[in-house]
Amino acid sequence: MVRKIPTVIFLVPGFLLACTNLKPVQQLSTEANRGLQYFHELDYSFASHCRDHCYFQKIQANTIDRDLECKCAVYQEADTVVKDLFLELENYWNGLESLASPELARYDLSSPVKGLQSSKLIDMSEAEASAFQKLSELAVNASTGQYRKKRIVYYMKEADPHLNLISEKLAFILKENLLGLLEIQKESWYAHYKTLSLNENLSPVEKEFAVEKYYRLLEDSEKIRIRIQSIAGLLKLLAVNHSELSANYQNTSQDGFKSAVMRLSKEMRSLHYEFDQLNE
Amino acid sequence: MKERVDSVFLSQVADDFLEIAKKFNDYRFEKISQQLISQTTFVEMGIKANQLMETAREMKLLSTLIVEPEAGEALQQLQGINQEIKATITSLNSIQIAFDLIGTLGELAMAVVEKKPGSIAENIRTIMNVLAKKTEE
Repeated sequence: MVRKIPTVIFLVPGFLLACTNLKPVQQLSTEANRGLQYFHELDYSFASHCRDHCYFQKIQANTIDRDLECKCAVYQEADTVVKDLFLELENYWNGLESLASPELARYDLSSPVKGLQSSKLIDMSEAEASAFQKLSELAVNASTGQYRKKRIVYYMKEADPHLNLISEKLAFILKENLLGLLEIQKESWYAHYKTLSLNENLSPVEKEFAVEKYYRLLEDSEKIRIRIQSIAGLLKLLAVNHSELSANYQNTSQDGFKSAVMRLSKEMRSLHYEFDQLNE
Repeated sequence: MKERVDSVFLSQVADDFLEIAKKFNDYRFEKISQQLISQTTFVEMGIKANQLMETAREMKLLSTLIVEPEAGEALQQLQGINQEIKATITSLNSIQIAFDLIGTLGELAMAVVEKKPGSIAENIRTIMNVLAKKTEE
């Protein structure tokens, strides 16, 4: 159901709207969309964690089956939760960018909205669930309703608490749960390779191999950790910037906002740099 | 005490479990290097520590997906227990008590993840007894 736009929006004095400059929104949303692209380069998920874990269990047990046969269905569900939350945010920021762009490009919401329908799996608090719903409704309103450029600030204000909750939820899942699983995996490696290093039946060369293998695994996991933390940090940063902009839009001086966006750009460049370094 | 056991809380309990498993691993590596435990005990302790980590894994998943109310009540009790275990496990002199502690905690954790209220209550009683025994030492 598409939420009705509050009547108050239509009653807002014209002089307020006349001062509205969309450039800050455009800059912020462009930066946001640039940053969110890094999410697609994470290269680590609940399901990939499950496969890694399953593979390592075979190594520990020293067993070879015809196929790997990992039971990862629940992990895939967790990925669906992550995907749904992410698409919702991406959808919103894309929409905002399109709305704020001078060309007012069209944007297609059909696929993210379809994705949302599978989000029933998520157990969210009431506030989180309502945030999720509201954000998608606002985005749909913005695209299908009778668009007026001036309304954007009000959309942002309406969306802000929901954007914050969803960003926070996604950052939490990535940082605490996905990274938490990686931490558990690290301890499994530690216990296994440390046991090997103490095994008197192994030759020094075999032990050396075990030590090397362990530190390589740690090195790889550190790269994953940096990526995930950067994305989680970015989500929070975007939410903060969105709040500031939507709360003080009328009062925001062009210069003040410019410096905020420049800070964001800088963060984005360092994120880009981090990902580039890790890909080398 | 938190009113609502949410995903954040469940995730924290999982972190506690990982920390206990780490301490337990440190404990058994230390004891084996001092030749205070047999190879069999060492391996069995490892299995128990793994069991704790498996449960922590399940809790992280549950935290992402869903939290059942009956698990919630047990988790609140668990948090206090975990703090005590974390604080004392490395200083435990009695290997048997360390072993009992990790074993009962593992069983309790499985009951939480499998959402069996009866076993949860029973396991909490058992673990409280083991903790009481520890303080008598």
